[in-house]
Amino acid sequence: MTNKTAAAGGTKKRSQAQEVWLRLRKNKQAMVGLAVFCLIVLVCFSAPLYIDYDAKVIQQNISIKLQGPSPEHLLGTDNYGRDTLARLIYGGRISITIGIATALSALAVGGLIGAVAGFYGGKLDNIIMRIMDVFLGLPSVLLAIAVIAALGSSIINLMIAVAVSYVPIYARVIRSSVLSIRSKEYIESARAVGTGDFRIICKHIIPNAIGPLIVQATLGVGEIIIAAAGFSFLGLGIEPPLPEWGQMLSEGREVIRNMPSQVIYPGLCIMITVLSLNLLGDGLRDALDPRLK
Amino acid sequence: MLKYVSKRLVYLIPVLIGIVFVVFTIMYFSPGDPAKLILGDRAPEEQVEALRHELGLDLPYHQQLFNYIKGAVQGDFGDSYQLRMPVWDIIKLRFPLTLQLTTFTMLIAVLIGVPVGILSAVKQYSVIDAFSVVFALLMASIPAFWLGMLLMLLFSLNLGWLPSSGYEGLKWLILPSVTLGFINCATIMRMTRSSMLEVVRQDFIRTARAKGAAEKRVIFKHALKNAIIPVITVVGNAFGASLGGAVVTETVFGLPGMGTQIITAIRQKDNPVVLASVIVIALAFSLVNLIVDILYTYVDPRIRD
Repeated sequence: MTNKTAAAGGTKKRSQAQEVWLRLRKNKQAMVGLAVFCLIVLVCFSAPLYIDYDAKVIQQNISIKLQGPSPEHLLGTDNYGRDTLARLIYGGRISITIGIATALSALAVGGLIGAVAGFYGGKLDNIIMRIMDVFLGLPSVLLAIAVIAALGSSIINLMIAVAVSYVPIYARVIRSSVLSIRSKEYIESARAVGTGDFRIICKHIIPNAIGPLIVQATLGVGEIIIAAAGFSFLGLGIEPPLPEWGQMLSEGREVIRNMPSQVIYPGLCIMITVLSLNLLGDGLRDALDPRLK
Repeated sequence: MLKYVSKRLVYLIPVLIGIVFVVFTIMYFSPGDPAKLILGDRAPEEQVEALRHELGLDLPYHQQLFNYIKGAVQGDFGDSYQLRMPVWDIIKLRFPLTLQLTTFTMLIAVLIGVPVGILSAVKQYSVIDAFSVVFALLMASIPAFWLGMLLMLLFSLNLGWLPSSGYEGLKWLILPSVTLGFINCATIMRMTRSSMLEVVRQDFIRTARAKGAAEKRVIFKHALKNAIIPVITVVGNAFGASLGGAVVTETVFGLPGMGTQIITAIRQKDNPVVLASVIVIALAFSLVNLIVDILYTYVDPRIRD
């Protein structure tokens, strides 16, 4: 491994991103993760092209409720006679959107807070991190629950609540990586030639701290999909009749005795999606830091 | 040692006050008038006004916050809007069950996670290593409540070995504890494995082997002692996660603990109950973190300074 890294370091023509991609491509598990996730995204987000939303996902038809698999309904129907497969696919759109949007906003806010704290250090750092300590003193589920209790349950509030609970976690990660970069010699030399703070942050700190950020984001999307499903399951997130995997699990629970598949399918969807993200995230981490292998 | 612990305890106070402040503020600005909630929509305005005054809800924000903290320090968290009884009495009734669930959860998570993690590192690339890696990956990729439902499906509904919901004794805690225990054991297993792998490669382990120390001694006396710190951190985090995870798991299994209580209270807008429950769990979490920090100093006395 060390030999390979040394060799890679010798060819200077490739950019860091290309290096990482080359290493990532050799990691079979990460590539499987990437392929599966892309496939899921493709299937879910192109759904309007091949599934009639109102007729199959929303409209109830009690006369065909809880049916087994058939040519018209490949995975059967739910307790309200809606097509399970169509709801799973449309549910994926919501779950994945929530996961990505929430992770990105939590990263943006947490990243900014952490970067400022790490970059300026001193009193400001102390104050910011003590405030973050307060938020970290609450288990993240409870922090999110408190926010939802105050705001009321809706998709947007669910996303805000989960994002709030992830901000301090990301702030801490990014602060520590900025701290380690700040003391590097190239930052010192940038300062020596009179580069301003803003330029140093944009040109030097962010590009060098972006690696751990990408890993965190990838793993974060998976975690947030699970967390958001949990809140919908508790009735604190997506309101019916919107399909979302956690919401579907909650509805499936009511018919768990007669129709266990209603509980099994949505869970499997969550598992496959999050698993693919975890494989990709682990692979990215290894690709970004070959020493960890 | 005593000095260290008392220093940490003092440090805990601002964090706890901060938590009360944050949660109180969030709840304060939540929509809905508690007085109207208690009396109903059709109550005359004077009556609502009188109750607001009685509950201290007509005071300015900072005064309410101060009164709340003053009460909380003395164990007075106010009365539940819905149940019309002191919140503290409700918590006394509900908290022990959640604590039991979390304790069993952590026992399962640690007793499986740490030994399997060690074994997996010591016998890297063996069958057990492959199993533990796959298991940890799977457990990190599924929601606890789904695992709970699958276990319920298998062991209660199909096999009929264990009760599926409610609480009448320890038997009712088996499935919930196993559910949360498995989920939390994944990170512990992963961290033990990677931390051990890192330590096992270091020079002092080679030295220990070279001087002829028995393999068991090398692993437990030399390697584990140096690998355990990140594991303790993860165990502490897992404790917090399972306190939070209990909320969802209790709902799946219908356990009358803090989790189900918080959810019911949120639905009913019973703010004093939500507030106090969150604070009590945060306190428990902080105490666990304190214990974790004290454990560090036992394992590595250098940390105390």
